[in-house]
Amino acid sequence: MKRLSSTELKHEKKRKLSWVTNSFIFFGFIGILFYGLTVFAFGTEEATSDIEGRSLEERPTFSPSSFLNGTYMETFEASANDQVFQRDFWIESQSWFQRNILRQAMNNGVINVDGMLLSPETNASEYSSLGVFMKDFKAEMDEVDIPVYFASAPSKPVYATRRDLFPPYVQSVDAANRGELHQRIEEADISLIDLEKRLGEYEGGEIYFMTDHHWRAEGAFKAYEQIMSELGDVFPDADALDFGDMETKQVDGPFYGSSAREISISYVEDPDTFTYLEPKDGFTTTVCRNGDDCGYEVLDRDVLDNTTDFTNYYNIFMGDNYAQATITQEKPKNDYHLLVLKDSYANPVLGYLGESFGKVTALDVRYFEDYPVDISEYAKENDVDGVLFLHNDRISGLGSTYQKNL
Amino acid sequence: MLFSSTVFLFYFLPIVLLMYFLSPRVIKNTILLVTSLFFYAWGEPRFVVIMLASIFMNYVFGLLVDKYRHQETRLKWTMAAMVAGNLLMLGVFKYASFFVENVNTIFGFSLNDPEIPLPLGISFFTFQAMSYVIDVYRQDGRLQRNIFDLALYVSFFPQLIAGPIVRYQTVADEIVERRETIDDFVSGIQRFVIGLGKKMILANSAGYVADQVFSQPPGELSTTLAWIGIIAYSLQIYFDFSGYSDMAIGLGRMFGFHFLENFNYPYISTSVSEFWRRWHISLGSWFRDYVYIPLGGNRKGSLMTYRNLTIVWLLTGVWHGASWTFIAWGLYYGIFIMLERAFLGRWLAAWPTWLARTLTLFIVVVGWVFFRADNFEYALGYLQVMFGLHGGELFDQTAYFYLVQYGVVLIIAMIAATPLPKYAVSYFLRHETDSERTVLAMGAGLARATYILFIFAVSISYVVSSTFNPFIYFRF
Repeated sequence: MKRLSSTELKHEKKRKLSWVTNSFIFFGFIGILFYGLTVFAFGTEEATSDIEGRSLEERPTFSPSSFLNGTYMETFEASANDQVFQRDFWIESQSWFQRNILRQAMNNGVINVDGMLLSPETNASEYSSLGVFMKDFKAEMDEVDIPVYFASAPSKPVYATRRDLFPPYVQSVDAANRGELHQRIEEADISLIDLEKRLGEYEGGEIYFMTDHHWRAEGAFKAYEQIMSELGDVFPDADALDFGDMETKQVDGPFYGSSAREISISYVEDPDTFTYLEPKDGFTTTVCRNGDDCGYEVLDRDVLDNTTDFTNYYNIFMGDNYAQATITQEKPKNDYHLLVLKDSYANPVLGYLGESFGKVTALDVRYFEDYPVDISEYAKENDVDGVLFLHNDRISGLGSTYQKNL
Repeated sequence: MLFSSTVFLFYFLPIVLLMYFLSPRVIKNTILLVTSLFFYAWGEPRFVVIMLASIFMNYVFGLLVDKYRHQETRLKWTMAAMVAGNLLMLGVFKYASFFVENVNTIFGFSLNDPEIPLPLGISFFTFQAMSYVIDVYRQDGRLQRNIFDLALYVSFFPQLIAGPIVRYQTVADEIVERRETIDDFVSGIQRFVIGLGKKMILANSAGYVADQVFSQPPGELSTTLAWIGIIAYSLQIYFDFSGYSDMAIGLGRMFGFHFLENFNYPYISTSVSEFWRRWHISLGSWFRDYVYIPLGGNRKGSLMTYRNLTIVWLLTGVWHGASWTFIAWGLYYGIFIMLERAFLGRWLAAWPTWLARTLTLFIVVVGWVFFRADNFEYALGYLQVMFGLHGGELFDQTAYFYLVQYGVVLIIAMIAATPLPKYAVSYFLRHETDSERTVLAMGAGLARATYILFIFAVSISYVVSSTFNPFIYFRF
């Protein structure tokens, strides 16, 4: 057997070492590729993504026509993206890398400021179409002597702007936009209930969720108290609930709200604890959704079943958003019928208002495509005693939708 | 299909690798051809017909060139027909709308825009196919009688959509006979992963900044923001294109093909001429060998040299897109290259290297404004802002935001655009090849493997996250 020279021995040793390194790279690379292929070919398809809160695309059925016109590939790509192995892990890893290595403070337009997740608006809103709608609507309501109010909730970025929480490099025009909205409300001669007057007295964490863009049940209750105080003269028989009569209930497990899902968990320091309020004797109302789908409660406890880290507990209030929700007292305490034009901020407040008014109808124009309602006709034909807009101040996109449904 | 997509990474590539390496040698080319056509068909199946027509046309021209090799007139007519046929195809699909638009503007006609969709990669595969016939004509490459092998050369998926423009002579032998090795395969993996990382981590991040800045009217930008935007775009286009070339070269290597380099740290060039020897090398050398030199190059006096340069740079601009801004961009380089030939080159050579580099980089970055802008009006407005001639702010909160939010990734990208990381990696990993101590050599080797697999994992996380789409219904 031939003896190797020392140079040949060194070369042989290096070749072996190089083989070890190359094997790592080869098997690492190939392993990831083929694992992905195997999971796609033989794995179970996921129907929904908890973190994204949406349905996931499933593998399409092949047909020659769908292949030739390209729709098969389009759907296949979407399903390949949605069904990729360990999708949530990859998404979180990317966020971690972005936050910790690339030092990017914001993700998907959301920034973490001392644990509070905020999505500042950088575009000025004019609210011109909403202003036109409000003027026209107010004129119609004046004809039938129905008073109109606008309860304007400050959004989280407005709170952050007032407290000067944003870092100097973050632009936010939210406070200016709120001022613009209020100007439109006043121009329409609608009575403004500026909820910031009351809520502004409290710290952000008492009013808002840290990881969700909504207010907490406690913040909503303070807003309710202010609304009732300002409506008291017109609706003297509508008694307000007292906070002392309410019981605070806490949901087990963490609550990662909408902003946490947008910015991803890597950016979240602590999840929220989700609480909701209930009268000690329980709510005394029933809810009908979109007309005659009745028998619901203002607190939808089904949301608490089968929970995950990303369960949207906020849906416990009214069981999500509907074009029309009617809350009726089982034993009416008065004959008042309040019409609330609202967004999701209003949902916890509706339950409280339901205890004060004999009947509360909530219309959410964002869902009118499913169940269209003519707002002014509804107010005129259903013995409505008062109209309350209950929105947060980021509603510039709603003007044209309102106009369409005047 | 993009390399930086889950479909490519987790379905197409492993299936092709499996089929290729498990099949006997005799059908390996067929597998690559069929999968390449499938790759191309994935986006727009109907365009496969156009590519196949191009392949067939140039296959026939190749045969005719060989047949008329000794009949000069026929040979010249064949070559003229080949050039006309290819340029007609490119012209119809890429420039018809541009042509009609300009005829309408100049002559006041109202011809309808034919609105012909642009087949993906047509500029690349047309130039490759022309390269084949020209190489056969010049006897730089052998005639390919097997149309399937020629089809593989034109349509091979790694370089099909975004280059590099592989010259026929480069791969003529490897199409017929090649040897795949584990060393080549691993080297291909490394190259592919680096390219994927460039594209997903650096190019896309820089691209996001550039897109945000260029989506605003120039009048609303501060001077600093305009510079951030164009620097981000300069980084985006480099890492996007060179990353894609890296992936193509890496994939080719996995299958035993050795493509030539397409980029060589262009942003460290000390002159514009050098920049073009380092940027999109395959295109520059294509125009040099197939246009500039046949026109006479610099052999027929100064005037003809400048004429030839003007033609080449006009064509370079046109090749990049059907728009006057691209033409202006091409001529912009033509002018600087002519100036360098006249006197600037001598000046630059006499200057300190850092100064020559800075000036060259400045010229290149300013040139990208024409490349990125949608029209002249925007480009000129943007340049005014860059040079503080708009009467606006020098610095604003938006610029501050982009510096804070994307400062780290832009700095990483700027460093990565130089050979420094390569030197650093070579320095730290030198023990793998130099050290006598097994532990050190082994450690350096494992560090290399970890580095590659880490970049791969981060790149995948970016690929997957690019489809992250949280449904937050309404923002209130």
